[in-house]
Amino acid sequence: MNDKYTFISREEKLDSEQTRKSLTYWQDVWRRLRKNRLSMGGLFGVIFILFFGLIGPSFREGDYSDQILDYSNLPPRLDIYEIEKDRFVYVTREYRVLETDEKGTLLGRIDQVYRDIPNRLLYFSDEYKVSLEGTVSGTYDYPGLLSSKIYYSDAWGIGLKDVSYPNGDDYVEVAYIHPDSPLYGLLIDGEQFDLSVIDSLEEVVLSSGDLQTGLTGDDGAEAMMDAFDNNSDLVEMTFRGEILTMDYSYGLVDPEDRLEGLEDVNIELNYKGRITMNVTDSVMNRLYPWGTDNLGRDLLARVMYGARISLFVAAVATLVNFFVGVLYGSVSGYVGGRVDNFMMRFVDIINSVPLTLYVILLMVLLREVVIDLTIFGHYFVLFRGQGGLGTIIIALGSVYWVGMARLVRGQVLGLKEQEFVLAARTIGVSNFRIILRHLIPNAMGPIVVSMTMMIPAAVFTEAFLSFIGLGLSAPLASWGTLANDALAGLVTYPYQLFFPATAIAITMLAFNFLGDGLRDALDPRLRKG
Amino acid sequence: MTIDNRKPLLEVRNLKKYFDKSRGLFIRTPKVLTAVDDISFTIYQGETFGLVGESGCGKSTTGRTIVKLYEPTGGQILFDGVDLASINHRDMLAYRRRIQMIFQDPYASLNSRMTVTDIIGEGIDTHHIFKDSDDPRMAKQERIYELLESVGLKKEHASRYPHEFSGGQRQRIGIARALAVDPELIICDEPISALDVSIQAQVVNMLEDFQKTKGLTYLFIAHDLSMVKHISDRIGVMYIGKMMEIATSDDLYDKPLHPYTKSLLSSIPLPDPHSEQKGKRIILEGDVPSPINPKPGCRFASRCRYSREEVEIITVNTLVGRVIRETLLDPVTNELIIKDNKVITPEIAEVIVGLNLPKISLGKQSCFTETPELKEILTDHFVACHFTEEINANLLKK
Repeated sequence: MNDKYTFISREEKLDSEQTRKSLTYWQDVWRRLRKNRLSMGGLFGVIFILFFGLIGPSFREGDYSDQILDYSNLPPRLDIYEIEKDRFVYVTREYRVLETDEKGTLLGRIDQVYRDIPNRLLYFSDEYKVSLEGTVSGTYDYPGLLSSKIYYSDAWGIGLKDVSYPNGDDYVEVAYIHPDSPLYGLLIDGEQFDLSVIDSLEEVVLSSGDLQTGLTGDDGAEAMMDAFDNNSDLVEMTFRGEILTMDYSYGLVDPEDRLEGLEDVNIELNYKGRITMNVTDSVMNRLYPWGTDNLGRDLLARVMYGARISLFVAAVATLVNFFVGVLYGSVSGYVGGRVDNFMMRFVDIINSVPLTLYVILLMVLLREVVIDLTIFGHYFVLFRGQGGLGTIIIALGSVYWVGMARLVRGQVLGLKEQEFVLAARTIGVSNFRIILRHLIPNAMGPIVVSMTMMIPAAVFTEAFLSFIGLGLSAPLASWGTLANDALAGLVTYPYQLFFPATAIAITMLAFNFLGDGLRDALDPRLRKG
Repeated sequence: MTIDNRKPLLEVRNLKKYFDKSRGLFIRTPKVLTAVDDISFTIYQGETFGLVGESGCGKSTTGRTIVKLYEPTGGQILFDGVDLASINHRDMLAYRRRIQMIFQDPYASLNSRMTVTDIIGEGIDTHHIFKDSDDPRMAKQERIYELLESVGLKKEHASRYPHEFSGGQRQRIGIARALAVDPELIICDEPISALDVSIQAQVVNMLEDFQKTKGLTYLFIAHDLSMVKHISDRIGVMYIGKMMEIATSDDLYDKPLHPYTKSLLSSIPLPDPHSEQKGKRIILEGDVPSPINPKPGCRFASRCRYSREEVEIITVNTLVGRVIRETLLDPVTNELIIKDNKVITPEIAEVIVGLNLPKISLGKQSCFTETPELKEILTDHFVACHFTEEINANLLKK
């Protein structure tokens, strides 16, 4: 006999028969899910995006809809020039000159700049002083304006016009061009006139010989714009008794030349006679880490806000989906027979209408609808068809439950013949309770997986609808509208698409990874019963 | 219990359950699966009625139709004098408490999302059993503990989930669930066929104990013949939706009268290598016919070695009561003896026998056309076969 084995005492034996609190189904799922690294990554991604959207905007100073036109189309990284010791400027693609500090914090726009765009020369004169608040004092002395040329820039490029002076050197006219309108106003002797303010543009003679008299206000502006649009060579106009002759014969710079010029931005900055040609440093944009859009709105704030909208749409669509789809599917599956047949054919009908068409129809239908409510003098708008958010939610909510209904019906069809359901019926449990307590909890695995998969699908659909212009309207921003806005400047300002697109991609990946992990964790094949 | 003073608890009369298997939206080819076709039997209070038959013969459907899991196509289910087939859903609730069911698959019959407490307590909640008690919650919990202990489980098991139990333990939970509402009749739908042999005995003994202590009545559905013989007082044999034979279990095993029962019993393996059983084994030929759109006649006819289309031995007894489907002429005089579809009366039978024919054709009337009625051949022994007397001439003589 060896003494390897000895009898244990009774106490020890009882000790070994410990009872352990049993894991519930969901505890077990969580235990398995934790082992799956990819889906845990997805879970953290989802949590991050939720925080990003919900709490993020409160860390941004400005609002997502604040427009600062001077700061439009700024990239996340700024190539800054040191024009003077400790004085840095950044030149935008539209040749606006913005003052920054050494680290890349924007300080303001320097307005009084003479731009010789075709030669890429920007002049800052000693004589004019720029305060950062944007007020201007002093006399204007444009070193380059001795020639009879004015320059204008628009959103796409640079044009050049000749201007003749009626009264010698002391009289300077500059056609001031705004990106959104070809001709915006006149800058005469340092004084800026909006064309609508010009009260007595007595006479405009177009080169074609048309004479228009007594043009005031908007009519005058229109006549001048016509002159541009018709490519008139010479426009004469009488203003305050003086005859202005504008010679447009120079024409626009050839578009191909413009593009070529823009590719190779190599600017010569002339400030107080000191010429800076090389980029001093490339720094982070401190004020707008993700840059700005074409209206100078903070892209980071907009992507954060877009997360809210996108996730809100997805959450509502998924919730509707869950309640309607699960109820509809389980009733259809449980009742079965003819009822099931009719209910499923209805689902087929809904499913056969393309979502896009559905949304367009709903938008037309709901455009005028505003549901408001006044309680104790407080006015609430419950639903506004115009903004687009309500319409998208209704569209997604009324179509997306179809897949869930089918899934749940299939599950219920299989489950209702299971003996535990028969047992419940034998006991006399009501049909409603059987659906609620027996069928739905047992179908919960596929339902949860389907829901986590449906969230990215809804995000994507919303983005898609917004992208093709059926979604939200400004100033609301969702990732889809952001991507749509960015598309126009895709070649020049790719970052405007990059950030919302990345946000969409991360969200989709995170939810999909989580959904995959959940499916594995919930897989009934891993355990019986 | 003597035959006279027993009281019927459940009477099934001409119960039918057909399933419509028709396909097609516009052109429907009618297909009817006759799962249970016109069966009748009675279960007396306190007894165990065994229901045997091979897979797919409609035993489980019968059980499920009795508790109205399926709506019967026809017939009556008289429980304590009330026809369950005709009462509505709401009124049925009261009877659900009195009839319970134990299921076959211990893995499928418990909801894996519910704890044992929830599973057993569901019936208590549904029927508000402790609504008059001071503390219904406490009373319910006590009752659940008591039930668990009575089926051989522990109190600690109450908070567990089904997947933590073995098959035998799960079946005990299923039994506790059925017992929770104090039923009178329990339909045991093959409660032991998914269990280990050693566990089977435990469960069956437990069921027998409950029958003694609680005065339960069982409808015991099974295909294991020896187990059914052990537990049942009376046994019904089913074959493709029809009842073939009903007898007390001793009678059935000693004197099987129906050819199907004979072959079924001969298939029971004996644990004796020297037994002559080997030679006696009746091996049926062919497959079980489909229960979809069954042909008229005895369901077993296609596989029965006694089945035939004509009657060979012509005696008055074999002819009386049969329906003749052909015109029978006197071969000598060419006179009409009997016309179509006439039941043969003893007088006509005498005439036919008087003809001294070696055999007569009954036309299509035979095992293949005429469905045999369940007739009481001996006391409390019912058989559905045209030729019971003929086949069992030796047995019945005794």
